Amino acid sequence: MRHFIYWSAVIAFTISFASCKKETTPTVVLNEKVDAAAAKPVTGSSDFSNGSYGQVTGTARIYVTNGKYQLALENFASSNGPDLKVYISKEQQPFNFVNLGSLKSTSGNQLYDIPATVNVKDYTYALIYCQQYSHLFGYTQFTL
Amino acid sequence: MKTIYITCITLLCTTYSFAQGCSDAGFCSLSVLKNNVVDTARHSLSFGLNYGIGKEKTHITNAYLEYGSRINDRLSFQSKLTATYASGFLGSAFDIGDIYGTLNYVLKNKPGYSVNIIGGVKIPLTSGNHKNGDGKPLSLDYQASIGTYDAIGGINYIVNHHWEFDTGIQVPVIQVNRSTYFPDEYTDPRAFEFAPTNNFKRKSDVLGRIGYYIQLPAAITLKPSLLGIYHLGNDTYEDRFGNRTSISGSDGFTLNGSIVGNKKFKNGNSLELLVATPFIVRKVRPDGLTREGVVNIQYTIAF
Repeated sequence: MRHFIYWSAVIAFTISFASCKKETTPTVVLNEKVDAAAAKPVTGSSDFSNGSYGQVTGTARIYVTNGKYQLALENFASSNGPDLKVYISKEQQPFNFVNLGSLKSTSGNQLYDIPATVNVKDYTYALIYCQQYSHLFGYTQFTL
Repeated sequence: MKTIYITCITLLCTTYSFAQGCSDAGFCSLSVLKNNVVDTARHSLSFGLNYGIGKEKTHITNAYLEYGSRINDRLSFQSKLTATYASGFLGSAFDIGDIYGTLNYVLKNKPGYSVNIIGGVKIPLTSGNHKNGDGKPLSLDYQASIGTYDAIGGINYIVNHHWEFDTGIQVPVIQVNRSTYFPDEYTDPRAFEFAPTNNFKRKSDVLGRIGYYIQLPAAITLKPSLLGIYHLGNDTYEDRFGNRTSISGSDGFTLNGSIVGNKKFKNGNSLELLVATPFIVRKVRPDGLTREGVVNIQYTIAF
């Protein structure tokens, strides 16, 4: 009986320990780039600034390639977090935004498709945002 | 009695067209709502393990520890801690899931029948947002918890130590699900078999069960049962624009069949084996409760 209780406690402790939060954004350096021959920049290249909870460097720019809009993060680097997302937003905080998906990596050049229904001119910011904990890691305002 | 039984089965089989699969949102595997076998021990400690295969061949293994304590002849307390390992083509995840606390009260215990009531809570220990090795969010089929604080209530009615009728309700009171799953983050088209569940919110369930206890020699009890669960509305998620969106077809009825066998040993310990499978499932099950069949084994030490 004592053994059973002992091992039950060990199992409970082990699974609790194993469930500790992890920083889950991959760190492999990416090098995704738009097709230079076909892509046209829609915005200028704007530098990221740090948010309250992270450090982000690099630039963001929107391109259109054959009618398809993409957000390009270039020379990008971010501190890691458990649930980092890429948003384009009408404000510096994500009140009116489009969630472009999970941040693919904390570093490198990256591309994110923008849904066809989005009028990109309405969205003047790019955000790196930890969705699970509502923490802004970094932001940039697009330049023309 | 036979008329009631046949009527209930007929209603269960014909009234609804969709259901949610051999699921365990929690309440249907809790305490007397699972199996009400007479137990006179002051305390009990159970370890259980179950395995099932969900949508797109997602393998789901669930382990739990359960502690029970009889406070007096009428009142007892149970707590249960779960953990889940799931693996499939999207990846794999392991985590603790939920902790349950329930009180059972024997309202009536007459020679011909008994009535038990159960009330409790389910507290999530994770928020349903595990990622795979590439950092991509996994669907709720892979998550150890749906991420809801639930209130649970139920009634267990046993007639002549044989027929059992259960009703129950599980209401999500606080929703802390932080799933960020969008299937279009994956290139594998099978990912679209799992509905998007970004910031998922779940509706309540009600339960009805009919079972029959069969006493066999050597202190073995068998109980085949039919379990109906009705999901009271469409679940919702937040789309890429931050708008809350209803998941059409996620409401509706589940009909599961199960058989549970319990072997009681002379020292008061017991071994329980349960197999269950759904007969009718909901059209869409974004909460990940999609197992096609479940086998559960539990060993209980009484002390």
